[in-house]
Amino acid sequence: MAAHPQNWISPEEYLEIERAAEFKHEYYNGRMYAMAGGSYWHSVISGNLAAALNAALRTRPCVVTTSDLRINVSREGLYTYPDVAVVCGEPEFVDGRNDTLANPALVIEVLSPSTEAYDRGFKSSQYRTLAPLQEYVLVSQTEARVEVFSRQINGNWLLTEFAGLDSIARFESVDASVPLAEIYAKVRFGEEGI
Amino acid sequence: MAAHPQNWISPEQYLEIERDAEFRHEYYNGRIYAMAGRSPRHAIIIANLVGEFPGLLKKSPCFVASSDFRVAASGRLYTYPDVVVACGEHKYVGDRQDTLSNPRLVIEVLSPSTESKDRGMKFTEYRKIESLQEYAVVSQEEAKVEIFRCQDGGRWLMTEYSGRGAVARFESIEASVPLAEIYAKVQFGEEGA
Repeated sequence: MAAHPQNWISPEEYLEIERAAEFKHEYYNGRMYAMAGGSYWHSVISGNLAAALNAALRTRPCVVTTSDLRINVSREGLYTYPDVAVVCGEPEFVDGRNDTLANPALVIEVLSPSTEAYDRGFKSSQYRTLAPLQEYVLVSQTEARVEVFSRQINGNWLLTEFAGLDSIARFESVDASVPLAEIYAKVRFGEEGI
Repeated sequence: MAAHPQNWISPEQYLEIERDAEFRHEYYNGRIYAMAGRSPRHAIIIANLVGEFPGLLKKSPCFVASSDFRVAASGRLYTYPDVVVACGEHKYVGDRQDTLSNPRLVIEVLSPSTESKDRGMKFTEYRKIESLQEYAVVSQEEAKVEIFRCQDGGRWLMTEYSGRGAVARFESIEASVPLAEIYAKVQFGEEGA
């Protein structure tokens, strides 16, 4: 096992600190990162998504979670709080406590200018390493657009784009369809400060 | 047609300004943006990529160009991709032969300041180019190439190539390029440290 630098934080230390922390932090490979707060529209869109998915999945054994729930992709890999996640069947948790989910089928991130590179790049590449994950979804907050990345056999990922308020996003991983009109209900685009 | 704000610049105005400009600018949706300079590593990777293609394309009707070639995507974005490959008859915007409209393959080398645009806005606009069959993003932090291939129904299939031993496959031009070539003479932080 490679030696860690002196200020390296183990996943166990992170979880212990995080469980007592006032603010949320992400963890990756020995380091903790404070999470930025979301904007008003970011939060409205996340809420719409969770509500719409909840309604669409009412009769299925799938649960919708919000950004209060931590998700882990691998032991020393990323621990983070996706805006929305869906787990079907029995949830699996890291280290016996029921606060760090290990088997989401679907995660959704609402993009914001300060995190777009991170969400599209590093975070997506981490999500792709999470074996139970079948789809990850990136949702714009500047226009009505949803990008769904679906796991394919042989490790490829298929991107399907849904754009415009009259289109309907399809989440194959959980067998649910959600109109963009619901995802963006009450959202106003093009305003300063989003 | 929607009204534009007062300082909105049309694509035609942009092209007129840009043809006389000393430095390159991108155009997106009514605005002009100066293009940032690049790191040496970024430049080496582009040179490695551009250096590989002429040999691979010798027997095909395709040519490769580097960041001096302006490409029009969707009428909303005019930019200079790091690497562009076009095949067959070149198509240009307007009468001047200086703004390509039918690339087959576009490659962007990522940098921290452009990653969100390259993966987000630009890829969104590139996807609207009918002739585009592949879009690739190349990391400069590690040996990693992600290739998005256009599929039926407007979907894009992403294949990731990782590590110096991997060989990136560009189906659009039937060419394979080892990552060892793309990253030749490029050292990453943890290597050799």
